[in-house]
Amino acid sequence: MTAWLPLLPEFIIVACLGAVLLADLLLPRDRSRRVLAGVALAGTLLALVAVAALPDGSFGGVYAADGVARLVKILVLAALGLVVLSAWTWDQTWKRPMGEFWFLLLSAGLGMMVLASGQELITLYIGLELATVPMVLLTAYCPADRKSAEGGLKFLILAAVGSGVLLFGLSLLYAAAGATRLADLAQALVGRSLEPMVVIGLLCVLVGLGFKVALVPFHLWVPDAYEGAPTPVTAFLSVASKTAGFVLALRLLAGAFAALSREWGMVLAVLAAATMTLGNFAAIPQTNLKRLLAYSSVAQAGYLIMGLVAGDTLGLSALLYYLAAYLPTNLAAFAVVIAIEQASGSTDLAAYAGLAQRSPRLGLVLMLALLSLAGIPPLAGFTAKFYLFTAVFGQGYVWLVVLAVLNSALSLYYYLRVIRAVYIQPPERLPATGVAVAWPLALVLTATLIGILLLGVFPGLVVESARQAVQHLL
Amino acid sequence: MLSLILAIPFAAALVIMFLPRERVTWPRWVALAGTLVGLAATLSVWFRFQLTQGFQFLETAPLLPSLGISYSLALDGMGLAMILLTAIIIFTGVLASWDHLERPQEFFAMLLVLVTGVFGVFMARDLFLFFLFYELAVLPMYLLIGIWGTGRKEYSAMKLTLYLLVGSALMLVGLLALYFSGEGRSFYLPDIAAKAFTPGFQKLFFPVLFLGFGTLAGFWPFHTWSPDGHASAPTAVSMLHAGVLMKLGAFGILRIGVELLPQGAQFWAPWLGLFTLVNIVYGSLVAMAQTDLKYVVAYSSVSHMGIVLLGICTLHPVALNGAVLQMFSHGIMTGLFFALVGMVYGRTHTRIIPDMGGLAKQMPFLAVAFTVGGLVSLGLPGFSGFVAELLVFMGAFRVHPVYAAIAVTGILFTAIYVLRVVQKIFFGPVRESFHGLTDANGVEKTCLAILMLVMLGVGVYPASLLRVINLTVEPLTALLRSLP
Repeated sequence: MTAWLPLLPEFIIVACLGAVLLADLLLPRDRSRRVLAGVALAGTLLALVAVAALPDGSFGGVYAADGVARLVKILVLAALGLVVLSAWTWDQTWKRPMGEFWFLLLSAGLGMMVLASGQELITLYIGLELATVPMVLLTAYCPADRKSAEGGLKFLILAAVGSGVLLFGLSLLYAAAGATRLADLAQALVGRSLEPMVVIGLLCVLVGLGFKVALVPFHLWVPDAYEGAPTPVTAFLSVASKTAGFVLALRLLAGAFAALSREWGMVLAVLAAATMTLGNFAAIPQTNLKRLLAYSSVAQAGYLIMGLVAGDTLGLSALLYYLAAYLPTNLAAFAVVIAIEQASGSTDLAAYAGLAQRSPRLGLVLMLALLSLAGIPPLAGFTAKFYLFTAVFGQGYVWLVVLAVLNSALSLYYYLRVIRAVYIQPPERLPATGVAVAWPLALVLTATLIGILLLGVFPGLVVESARQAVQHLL
Repeated sequence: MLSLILAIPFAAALVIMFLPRERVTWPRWVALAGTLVGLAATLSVWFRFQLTQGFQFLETAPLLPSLGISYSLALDGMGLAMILLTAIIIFTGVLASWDHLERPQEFFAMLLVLVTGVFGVFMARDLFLFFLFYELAVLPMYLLIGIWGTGRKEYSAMKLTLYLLVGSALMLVGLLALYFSGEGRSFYLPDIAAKAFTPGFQKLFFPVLFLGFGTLAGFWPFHTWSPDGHASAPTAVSMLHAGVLMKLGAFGILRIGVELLPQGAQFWAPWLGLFTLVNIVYGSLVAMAQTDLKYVVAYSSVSHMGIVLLGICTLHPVALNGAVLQMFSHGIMTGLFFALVGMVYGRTHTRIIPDMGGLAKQMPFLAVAFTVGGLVSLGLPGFSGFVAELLVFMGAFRVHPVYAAIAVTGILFTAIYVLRVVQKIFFGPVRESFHGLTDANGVEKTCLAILMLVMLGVGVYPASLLRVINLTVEPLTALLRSLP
C-alpha cells in the first residue's frame, strides 16, 4: 500500500471528481449549487494538506513526489481553491448549472498535478492533455457569449497544434535516445547535440512548449482566450496553467535535455526577449482589462522563461519563486475584475473609473496587484523579479537583464493607466454605494493581498524550499 | 532604534488607512503625530550619535541568505544629516497641507509610505534594501501628483515616474554588476566595499550608476521631469520631492558610486562636472525666464542641485563637505519655498508672477519668510546656503578654476531672479483684487518658522552639521587620495 502513497493527493482529487458528478446527478438543482462548490473546495483543501504532509517519494520511477512537484502542486491547488471561491457565486451571473464547471476545473487541476510529478514522456503527455482539454472546454463554457466561443475555438486549434508539435518532437527524441524516462533521456543525449534528429526534435519541443506557456510568436491564442473565457477561468488559466506549463518546461529542458542546454539556452533567451517586449507593447493600447492582463501575462511569461535561460540552481529556484509570487498577484487582479464584472457587467477600463472612491479596498487590492506585476517594492513581484534578474545576470546574460528591466519600466506605463482610472478619474458608472463583494470573493481578496505582501517582504518562505527542491533535481 | 524610525511613518500610514472615512480631520492628526514622533526619534538618534567615523546603530538580520541579502540598517554622518532633513521636511510638509485637501486619508497614507522609503534609503546598509526603499520612495509620487496635483498633473506624474524608473533600471544593472564582480556574493555594503574592483570595471559602471542616480538628482539633461513634476505636485509633495527625494540621487552617487567605485569616479568626474555647470547656469537662466512662480522654484532646484553635483564631481574634501551641506540646506530652503508658494497660491489663486504685487501689505509674515528663503537661495552670509555654496566653490576653485568661475555666474543669475520675484510679488503697488487676503495662520507660521530657524541655525553655526558630515567625507577623501 505504501507504494501508492505518493499518489494520494491525486486520488483525493479523483474521489472529489466522482463526488461532484454524483452530487450533481442526485441532488435537486436548487440545493446542489452550494454543495457542489463546497465539495470541490473541500477536496482541494484535503489534497493540499496531503501534498504538504507527504514525504518525498516515487511511484515506479515514472511518478515522483519530489520537492519541485510538491511546490508546484501546492501552487496549483492553492490556485484551484482560490478560483473555486472566486467562482462561488458565478452561477448568478451565468444562470447556468455549475456541475460540469467544477468537474472540468478539478480535472484540469488533476492534469497539472500529473505534469508536476511525471518523470516519463508518456505520463507527462497525458498530464498535459488532461490539463489542456478541460481548460478549452471551460474557456468556451458560455456558448451564448460569442467571445467565449471564439476564444475557446482559437484555444482549441492552437493548443492542438502545440500538442502535436510537442509530441512530434518528443517522438523524434525518443527515436534518437531510445528512452522515455527523463533520467534515461538525459544520459542518452549527452554529447549528441549535433545530430539532426536531436536538433529537430528539440526545436519541435521548444515550439510546443512555446504554445503551452504562450511565448511570442506562439501566444496568439492568449488574448482571445483570456478575454472570452469566464473570468474565474481566465484567472485559473493565467496562474495554474502557466505554472504547469513552466514545470513541464523545467522537467524537460533542465531535466531530460540538460545536455543540450547550450542549444536551447540561446533560443530561449531570444524568445524571452521577444515575448516580454512584444507582450508589453501590445498591452499598452488595450482598453479592456482582461485583454490587458492577457498581454501582461504574455510579458510575464517572457520574464519567467529567463529562469530557464539561467538554468542553474539560482535561476530555476527563481523561476519557482516567481511562479509563487505571480499566483497571489494575478489572482488578486482577477478577483477585482470579477467583482467589478458582477457589479457592472463590464470588464472595460472605463468601468473602473473612480473605483478607489467608491470601494477603497477593491481599489487598493487592484493597485497593489498591478504594482506587484510591474515589480514595485515591497510587493511579491518586486522581490521575485530582483531574484530572477540577479540569477540571469549571474549567468552572463547582461543584455537580457537590461532589456527585462527596461521592459518592467515600460510595463508600468500601462499598469499606471489602470491605476489612473481607479484612483485619479472621477467615478462614472460604479454604483454610489460601492461594489458589493460576496464573502468567498472577499476571502480571495484578503488571502491574495496577504500573499502579495508576505512573499514580497519574507521571500525566504518560498526561496529556501525552492532552492532545496531544485538542488535535488540537478 | 533605526527600525523604529522606519516603522513609525509606516505604522501611521496603516492607521490612517483604517480610520473611518467620514472623519476627515483625523488623518492629518495621525500624520502629524506620526511625523512628530518620527522627528523626536530622529533627534534622539542625533543626540546619541557619537562623533566617530564609521557606521553606528547597526541592526542586521538575514533576509534571504542564499543570495546574501540581509536586513541591515546603520547610520554614518551623511546619513544622519539626511534623516534629520527628512524628518524636518515631512513634519513641516504635513503642517503645510493642513487644510484644503480632498481625500485626506489616501493623501497622508501615501505621503507617509513615501517617506518610509526615503528614511530607508538613507539608512540601508544592504544594496537590495537600498534599492527596495529607493523604488518605494519613487512610486507613490505618481498618485500624489496625479490625484492632488494642479495643471498638467497627469502628464507630469507619468513623465516623472517613467524617467525615474528608467533611472532606477540603470541603477539596478549597476547594482547587479557590483554584486557579481569579484569573489563573494553578498549585497551587504561592507562586503561589497571590501571587493577590489578592477579599474576597467569601475570606469565602465561608474557612469551607469551616476546616470541612474543622477536622473533623480536632476542631472542635466535628464532633469526635465523635475520642473514639470514639482510644479504640478501639491505643496507637501513638492516639498518632499525637491527637498528630500532629489537628495536620494546625490546620496546614491556618493554612497554607491564614489565610495564603491572611487577610480571610476576619479576618471569620469571632470567630464560629468561639465554637465553640472549646465545644471547650474542653465537652471538659473531658465528660472529667470519663468512667469509661473512654482516653475521658478522648480528650476532653481535644478540649479541648486547642480551645485551639489559639482561639489561631488570635484572630489575635493572641502567641496564634498559643501555638497552634502548643500543637500541639507537646499532641502530646507526649497521646502520653505514650496510651502510658501502653496500658501500664496491658496490665497491669491494664481501663481503667475505678473498678476501679483504688493502682497507684503496683506501678508507680511509670508513676505518675510519668502525674502529669507530668497536670501538663502542667493547665498547671503548668515544662512546655511552661504556656507554650503562657499565650500563647494572653494573646493572647485582648487580643482577646476574654470568650472568654478562659470558656476559662480549661476549665483549671479540666481540673485537676479530671486530679487525680481520677491520685488514683483510682495512689493510694488497693492492690487485691488487682493484686498482682504489674510496673512499666514498659526499652523502655517509654525511650519515656516521651523524651516527658517533651521536655516539660520545652520548658517550661524555650520559646524553643528559639518562636523557630522565630515565623518563621512574624511574617510572618503582618504580613500580617493590613496588611489594610484
